[in-house]
Amino acid sequence: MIICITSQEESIDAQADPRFGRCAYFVFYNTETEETEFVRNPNTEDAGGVGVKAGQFVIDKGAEVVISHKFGPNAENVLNTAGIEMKTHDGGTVRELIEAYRNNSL
Amino acid sequence: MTISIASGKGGTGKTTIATSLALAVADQAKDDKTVNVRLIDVDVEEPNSALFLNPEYTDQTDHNMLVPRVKEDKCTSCGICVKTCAYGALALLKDQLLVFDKMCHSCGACLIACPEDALFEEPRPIGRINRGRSGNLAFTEGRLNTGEALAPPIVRGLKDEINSEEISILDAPPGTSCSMVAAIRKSDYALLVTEDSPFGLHDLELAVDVVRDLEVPFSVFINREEEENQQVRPWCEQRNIDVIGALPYSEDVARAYSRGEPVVEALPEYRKLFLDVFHDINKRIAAPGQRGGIS
Repeated sequence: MIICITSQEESIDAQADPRFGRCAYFVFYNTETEETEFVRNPNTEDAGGVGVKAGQFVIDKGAEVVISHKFGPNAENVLNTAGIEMKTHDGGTVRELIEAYRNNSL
Repeated sequence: MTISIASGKGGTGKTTIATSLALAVADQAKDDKTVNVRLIDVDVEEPNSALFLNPEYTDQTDHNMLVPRVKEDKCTSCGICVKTCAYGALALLKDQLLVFDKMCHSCGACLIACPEDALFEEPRPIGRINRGRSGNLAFTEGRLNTGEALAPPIVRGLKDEINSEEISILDAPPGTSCSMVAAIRKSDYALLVTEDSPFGLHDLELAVDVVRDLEVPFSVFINREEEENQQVRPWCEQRNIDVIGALPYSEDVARAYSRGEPVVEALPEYRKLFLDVFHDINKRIAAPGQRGGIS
């Protein structure tokens, strides 16, 4: 299963990015292979609609769970409709959040 | 003739000046059947001219935007429309196309891009346009529905109704964003209302940049002017921008305002000030290229 975490930098030890639609990086973590893929968010400079675009982006990447600090109403709508689970947190590194998710403590 | 009453900063007195200017001119022209004066409140996110004019409404219409809808039987879920949309108004989830109506700018690009001709447009009301009269003054206003994000479409809708034979005075939205630009674009003249404060001057400077960019001739009106610490007049003088009117700071004006009474009705001694401003603008429109113009 693929889970997605929003990150401020391209490192597993970077702080998670609290923003969903305007995060710097999406981190896709495969729970079976334990591989991570970092993808720069292509929509950070857009004037609007980034929540929907980010939702579409992570759906297309096959994520089933998305972990971020906060989701806007449009992003939430897209992710809900697609049946994707949204998990929120109050800070931490990408590594810590992956661990927390695996331990069911998010 | 179309005159926009605009400002950079909010709360400088656009509505106070626009309503009194329109009422003074309408009253002056009341016996001339060839002249019709109309105030158009294009500040659709917060239209408040009606609070001072108490118009009798005669009719109203919905203002619609076109949004895309999908013909399920034709859509192949190719996703080209989603990639085409610059505004994030479309999302494709497996075989379900979601349309986020409030994000849509009605650009129509998705319809053009769709290779299957599977999209069509449907009107969606975003606000209302109300028409009426306040004594000698004709009145039109736009009201954006609560929760809607886009003001410019209804501003453009209001401007499409402008009759160039009439004297139209536009109460513009504050700021220098899209709705203000949409409001003052193609006006014959803009009167920039400011207060004599550092904030007023800062935002006046932004508004001057906008009207110059739009090549709309303009001059400045100072509201609540005091005799000490003047900032706007010296700034305008240095830049060859004309200040063509000023309303002094006055508790009588403030009292009238708080009761919802137009200045020229509560305090008729100011009528001449507004008529002078109008005649000055009239002359400037007739003889372009004067000081304070677009150069």
